[in-house]
Parts: sequence; structure tokens; C-alpha cells
Amino acid sequence: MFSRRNRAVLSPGVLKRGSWLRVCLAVITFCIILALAAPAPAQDDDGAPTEDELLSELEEDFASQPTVADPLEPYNRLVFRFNDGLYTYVLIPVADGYRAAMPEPFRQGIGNVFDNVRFPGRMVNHLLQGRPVRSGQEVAGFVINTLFGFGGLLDPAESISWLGPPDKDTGTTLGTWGIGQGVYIVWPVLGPSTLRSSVGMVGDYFLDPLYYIEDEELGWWLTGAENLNNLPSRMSRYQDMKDFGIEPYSSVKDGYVQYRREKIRK
Amino acid sequence: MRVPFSIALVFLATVLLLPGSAMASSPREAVDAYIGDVLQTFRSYSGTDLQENAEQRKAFKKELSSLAQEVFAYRIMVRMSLGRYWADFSEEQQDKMVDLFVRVIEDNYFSKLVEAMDQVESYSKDMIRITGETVFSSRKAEVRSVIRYQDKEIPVNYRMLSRSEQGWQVYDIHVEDVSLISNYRSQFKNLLNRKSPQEVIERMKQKVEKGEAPDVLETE
Repeated sequence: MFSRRNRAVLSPGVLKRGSWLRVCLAVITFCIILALAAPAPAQDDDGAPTEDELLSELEEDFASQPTVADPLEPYNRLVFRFNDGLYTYVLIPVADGYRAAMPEPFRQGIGNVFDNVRFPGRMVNHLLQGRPVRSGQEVAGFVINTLFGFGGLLDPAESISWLGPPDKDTGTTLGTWGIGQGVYIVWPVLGPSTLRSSVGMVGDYFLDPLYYIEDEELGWWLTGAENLNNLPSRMSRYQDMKDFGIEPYSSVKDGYVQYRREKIRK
Repeated sequence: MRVPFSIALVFLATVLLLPGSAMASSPREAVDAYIGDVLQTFRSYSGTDLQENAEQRKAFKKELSSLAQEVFAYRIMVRMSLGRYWADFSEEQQDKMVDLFVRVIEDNYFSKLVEAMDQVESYSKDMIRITGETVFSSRKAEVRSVIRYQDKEIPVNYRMLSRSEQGWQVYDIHVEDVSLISNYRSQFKNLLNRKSPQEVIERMKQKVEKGEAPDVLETE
């Protein structure tokens, strides 16, 4: 029956007036359905208007991303180059040696101890940012890790879903208060920072329990040990930036700015 | 019994349109399928020492590359990385840039995967976990995932766009909240402020050649 109809379409001479109307209606229905079900079939990457619209929307998204002022760029690039040499020829080999000597679980444990001891800084900054609940979570995490995690070697609090507030430092508090990031600064050895983060680092220094250790020499040793312990992950992050980067200076700058912005937003 | 012709045509139209559903229907499914394929590739090479065996390493990377080509909208990634400078590149230069960009990304990314493979015993789904999806509009979405590696959880988010032919594809990756494409954008902006498109292409070429040496340098 269907095929007979088809033949009728092919040879219009045999159709009566009424059939013509039916065929036309059917074809129109068919076209409408096609049009409704497959809106705007764009053809290739850049040609079709809909894809173009989408691309200009994406372009706007990217263009509106904030950046950081870098009036010190000539100085910063000099320091960046100095740091690159220091990392490449001194700190990365040291990090590799330490990584080889100290297996991952031990490094993790040592890192946990320092993180655990540092809870006052995070607690105070949560409070200053008007987040008392997070502040309480820090205290709870400290108590749990100290009691049940062998003095903080393990991090049992991590697996408790309602704990684990985001990591906050003094720089993020200043950001929450609406203070702008200021200019970009590359510090010797320490690397990328902004004016705001640099001020924040001073605050963090005084909120650090290690600063209050009476035996000054011990304090320095501990600070050194922590930095050594963090070195492998910091250096591999730097190496990644360099590996993927076409223009490493801008890559590190933008990576730092994006990272800090998210840290404040959380 | 007679089936009215118009109903038959309606039916035909519906059937004709159905093949579209073979494409991933949600951004999450697209990422999930890709991750599944990558883990499958990992598993099939798990017995071989890729650091030692150059032939196998090449085949492994090739397999990963063809998986990535399907799900990553590389051309759009490059276009967004170049921003307004994209128009300063001739069509030929644009193609060249896409080509070199893919190589910089894949060379580094796959080399890191080969390294990582040495340190991971089993490639199970819980290594990579999709944690959520946000659909911004009918054509833009984000799929969030977490990669567990050496006791650390690294958040990796995929920014996706819906394309008529390819379905949902990735146009940006956020690793630990840092957007890869925004990052490249700032690099290219800095470079193209003082250099010509051709000079930037030369720089990319150097990067690819230097990046491949010494162990990944393979002659065809």
C-alpha cells in the first residue's frame, strides 16, 4: 500500500486533486517535524552561525577573567630567572634526593603533622572571614587528628565529610574584606606573590605556632624541615608549569593569580 | 487497513532522526565514556614497561591521542587561547597552531601518564571519580571529577560545549581550579604583544622539539 502511494507521488499525472492536497500536507508536516527536531544543523567548527555565536560567548567568558597588574615586570622577570636557576640546579635536585630518601607515606605523614599543628592560623582566619562553623571544624579536625591520628601523623578527619573546611590564610582574609590584590611580585626563592598575599604572609608568620617556640634554633630547624618536606610537590608543580608552558613567566603568574582567586572564593 | 500517508511520513521522520541519540546525550556521559576508554587503554598496557619499550610507548600514546581527539575540541581550545589574536593568523598558520598545540599538550600529558603508570598498581574506576555536573545552558556545561594519585585528590573539571556534529566536547580543563585555556591565553597575549604570529609558531615548534628530547624523540 505504501509503495503504491510512493509510485503515485513519482507519477503526478495519475493523482486526483484530493490526493495532491494530502501529499502536500504530508510533505509540509514532514518538513515541520524535521525543522523542529533538528534545530540549526551547524556544519563545521567555524562556519555555521550558531557555532560562531557560541564561540563569541566563550570568548566573552574568557576575556572577562581578571588579571593582575604587573608594573614591576622587568624586575619580576629578573627574579623569575634567578629562581628558575635556583630551582633547576639546586632545589629540584635536593627535592629529588629527598623524595628518594623519604618514601611517600612518610612525607605525607610529616606533612600532616605540620598541617595539623598549623590549625590556629586557619581557625583565626575563618573567624575573621565571619565563618565560625568552619573555625569550629578546624578545632574538631585538630582534636580528632591529634587523638586518633597519632599526634597528627595520620589525617582521619579528612574522611569525615562534614569536616574539612577549605584552607584559608591571612591573604584570603584580606581578599574577603574587599582589599584588592595589588601588584604582582616575584620574591627571590619564594616565587610568585601579590602585594596583598605578601602582607598576608606577615600575618601568617605571627599565626604560626612554630614562631612561638621558645627555642629559636629549634623553630628554624622545624621550619626548614617543613620546607624540605614540601619541596618535592612544590618543585613538581613548578616543573609541570614549565613543561606545559610556552611562556613560563606568564604561565606561573596567571596560574598563581587563578589559584589565589579560587582560594578566596571557596 | 490503510495507514494514512502523513502518519507514515511522520514515522519515517522520527526514525531518520533517531541515530542522533547514539551520541553522548549528556556532558557527564561524554566524560564518563572518555575516562572509561582511557582506563581501558591503561589496563591493556599494564603488563608492558612503557619507559623501556619505545614501540609500545608510541602505540600507547597513539591510542590515547585518538581517544582525546574525539572528546577535546582542540581547534576551539586554540582559538580561545589566542583570543583576539586568532584573527591575526592566516588560515594556514591557524592549522599549524592547532597542530603544534595538540603536540605540546599531548606530549607532556601522555609522558606524565606513562610516568604515573609506573607508580599505580591497578587502574580501577575509583582512581578517577566524576563528582558532579553543572549545566550552564543548553550548550555549555561543567563536569567535575577527582583524580586520586599518591594519596592526594586532585580536582579536575571539564568545561564542555555542545556541538551539532560532535556532541558534547571539552573546550577547557581546570586542574586544581586553574583553567588551562585561561593560562595559555595569558601566555599568548604576552608573547603576541611583542612577537608576530610566525615567531610564535617558531617558538611552539622549538618547544615541541625540545620537549620531545631525549626519550620521546622518535623518527617516523
